[in-house]
Amino acid sequence: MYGKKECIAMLLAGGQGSRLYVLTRHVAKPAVPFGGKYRIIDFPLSNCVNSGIDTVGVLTQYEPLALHAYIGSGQPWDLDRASGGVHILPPYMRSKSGEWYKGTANAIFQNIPFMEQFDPEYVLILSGDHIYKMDYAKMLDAHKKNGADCTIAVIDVPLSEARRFGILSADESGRITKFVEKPANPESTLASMGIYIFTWKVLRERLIADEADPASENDFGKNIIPGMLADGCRMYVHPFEGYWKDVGTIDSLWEANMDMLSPDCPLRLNDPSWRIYSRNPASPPHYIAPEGTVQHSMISEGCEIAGDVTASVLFNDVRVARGAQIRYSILMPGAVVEEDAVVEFSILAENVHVGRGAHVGGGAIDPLGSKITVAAAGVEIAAGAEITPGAMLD
Amino acid sequence: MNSMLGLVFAYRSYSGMRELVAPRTTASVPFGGRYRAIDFCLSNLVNAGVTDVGVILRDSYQSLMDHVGSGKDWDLSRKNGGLFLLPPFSYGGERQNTATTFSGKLDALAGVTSYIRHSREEYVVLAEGDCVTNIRLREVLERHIETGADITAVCTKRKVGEPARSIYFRLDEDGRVCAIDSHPQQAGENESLGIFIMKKQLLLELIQTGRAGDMVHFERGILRVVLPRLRVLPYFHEGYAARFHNVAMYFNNSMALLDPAVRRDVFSRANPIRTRVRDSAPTYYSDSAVVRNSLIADGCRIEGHVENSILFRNVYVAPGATVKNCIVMQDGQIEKNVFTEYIIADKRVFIGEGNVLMGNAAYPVVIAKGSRL
Repeated sequence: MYGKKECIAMLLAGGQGSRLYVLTRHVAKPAVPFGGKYRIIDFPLSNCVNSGIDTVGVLTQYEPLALHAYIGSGQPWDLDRASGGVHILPPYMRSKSGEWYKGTANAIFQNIPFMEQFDPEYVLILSGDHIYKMDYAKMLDAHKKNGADCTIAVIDVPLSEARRFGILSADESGRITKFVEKPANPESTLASMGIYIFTWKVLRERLIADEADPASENDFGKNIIPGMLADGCRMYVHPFEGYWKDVGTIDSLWEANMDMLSPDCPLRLNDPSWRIYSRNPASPPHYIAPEGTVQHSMISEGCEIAGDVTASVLFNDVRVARGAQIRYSILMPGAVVEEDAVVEFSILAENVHVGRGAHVGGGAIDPLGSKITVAAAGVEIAAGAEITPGAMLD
Repeated sequence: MNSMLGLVFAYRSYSGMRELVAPRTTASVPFGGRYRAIDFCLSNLVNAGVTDVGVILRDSYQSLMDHVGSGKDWDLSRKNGGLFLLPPFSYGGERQNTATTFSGKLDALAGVTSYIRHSREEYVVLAEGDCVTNIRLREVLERHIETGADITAVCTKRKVGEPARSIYFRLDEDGRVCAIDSHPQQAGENESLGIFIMKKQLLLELIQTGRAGDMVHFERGILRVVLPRLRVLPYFHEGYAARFHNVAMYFNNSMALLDPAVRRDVFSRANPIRTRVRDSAPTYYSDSAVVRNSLIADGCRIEGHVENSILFRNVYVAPGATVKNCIVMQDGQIEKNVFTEYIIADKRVFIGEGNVLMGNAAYPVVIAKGSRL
C-alpha cells in the first residue's frame, strides 16, 4: 500500500495530563496551547518534519476531539503526503476483541499492522509532553553507527532533580549499563527524555513477548527498556544539549512560557532554520492602542491591547481593555480582560472572560513564592471579583 | 446552490505606486501588515463559496505566483476546480495567432474563453485583484438573481480611486445603469469597484460581440455598447474600499486600518481574510519597547519606539530606534538610533544605525525592496 520508509515516528498522544487539572479537562495534553501560537504537539511534529521523517502515527485515546481536529490532514506541518504523512491512531475494535491502550508499549503493540505497512528499519517513539527542538536524524545516524537495538535520548540534569526521571548509566562508548526509574539515590545525572529509536525487528519481537506476559504493565520505561537491558541488547544513549522542558504541570507550563520571553532562552521560536509549524488562525495583525503598553511579552495575531501588558504571553485574538493590567500571565486564544481588571501570575484558557475591575491571582516575582491561578476554557469571572492566588476555576 | 466562477484581473501596475510596483503588480502589493492586495479578493470569493477561481496575469507575475502558490491557504487547492493562474498565451481560442499580449479586460477575457466555457458554474463574477474590500459576494449574487438583472455592477458612494483611473456609473430614474463615465476629470457619484456578476453564457456572448467589434475594454468598451439593451443594475457596497493608484493613496488606506471601526469592517470574523501562512513566532516586545497606535504582525522583535505605524511579519526595531507614521514590510530591519517618519520600507529593507529618514504625510518616501541604507 505504501512505499518502504527507513524510519517512521510513533507519537504517544493519548495521555490525560491530569496534573494540568482543568486545562486538560476537555483536551488531551498534547493539544494544550503553548508559546503564544502553538500547541505542545507542534514541537515533536515539527521536529519530525525538520528531521526528514515524513511518516508519523499519532496515538490518541484521552479526549481526542480537539487534537484530531487540530491535526486534520497534517497540512500545517507539511504532513499531508501521498505516501506516509500523519496518521491518527485511536484504539479500535477487532473482530474477536478490542481494548483501550493499556500502556505505552501496548499502544505501539496494537499498531504493529499500521507500522508494517511501511516496512520500516527503525521506529522513533515520541511523546507529546515536552517543549524542545531536536534533530532526530542525528540520533538515527548514531543509532546506525552503533549498530544499536535501542537508542535513548538523554539530557544531563542537576543531581537534585535526578530522582524525578528515569536515570541511565552508560560506559565511555555511550552503551547503557544501567537504567533506574526515579531512583532514590541516583548514580548518574543522565535522564531519559522519553525519546527512543528502536531497530524495528528487535522491538517487534519484544512487543509481542511483552504482550504475552500477564505480569507486564506494558510500559516502555517499566518493562521494555529494563527487559532489553537485562537480556544484553545493544542500547546506547544519545546526549542532547539544549532547551528541553516537561510541561506536564501548571507550574512547569507557566515557567516554560516565561522561558520563551527570556532573550537568553536557548530555544528560539522564530529560528527560520528550524521552524515550529502550527495551524494558523486567519486573524489580522495585532493592534496596540494609543493608551496600551507592552513590555517583555509575546503577542500574537488578532490581539487588541489597550491596557498594560508586562512579562506575559498572549495567544491570538486576546483583548485587553483600557486600564487593565496583565502581569506574568498566559492568555490563551480569545481571552478577554475588561477595563481596569488585573490578571497576575495566571493562566487563562481559551475564551475566558474577566469582568471589569476583577482581580485575578497575584504573587511575587520569585517563582517559589508565586501560586499560579488557572481559569478553564470559557470561564466567566464576574466584574469586581477577587480570585485568590492559586485558585483553579472550572 | 447557484455557484460562480471567479475571474480575477491581477495584471495592472499603477505607475503612481512608484517603487512599490517595480517588482510586482498592484494586486501583489503587501498591505495591512500581513496581506497582499489580492488576498481580499480571493477571500471574498472563497467566503462566498466560490471554488473555481481564475487569476488573469500578464507580466511581473512571479511575485503573485509565489504568493498564491497552489491556492491551499485559501482552500483553493482542489481536485475539481480550485485556483487557476492564467498568464497570456495560455489558450489559443479567440486570440489565436496574436503575437501581442492583451491590453484591456475584454481582450484578456478573450484569451481565456475556453477556460470560461469549460467551467461548470452557471454564473461568473469578475473582480479586480487590486481593489481591497470585504464584501459578501453571495449576497450580491442573491440580489442579482432576485432582481433578474442581466448584469449586477458593484459600486460605492465613497470616493475610492483617482477619478482619472476610475469608472463611474450614471443611473436613470429607475436606478438602472444608463451611462458609464470612464476615467473622467471629476469624480462621479457611483464609483465602480470592478465587481460584476452575470451568467457565464452572457459573458461569453459579450466577449464574442466585443471581439467582432475590435473592442479590448470591458467597461468603456462592450459594457457601454450593450447598456441600452441589457439591464445593468448597481449593487451599493457600503464598507471600506481601497485602491492603490498612487503611493499617497496606498499610505492613507493603510493608515485607515489603525481605526478600530475600519478593522472590524475589513477583518470581519464572519468573513475572514486569508493569506499565505509564514509560520512566524508571535511578536516579542522587550523591556525597552514603546508602542502606540500600531498594527503589528507576527514574528517581529520590538525593542524601540513605534508609533502610528504598520509593521509586517519579521520586522526588527532596535533599541533607541523610532518608527513614526511608517509602514515597514516583511523582514525590515531598523537598527539602533534610527529615526524614520513617513517612510514606506518595502520588503527586506535594512536601515543602518543612526540613519534619519523623513518623508511627508503628503509624499511618503518609498524605500525599494531589498535596499540597504
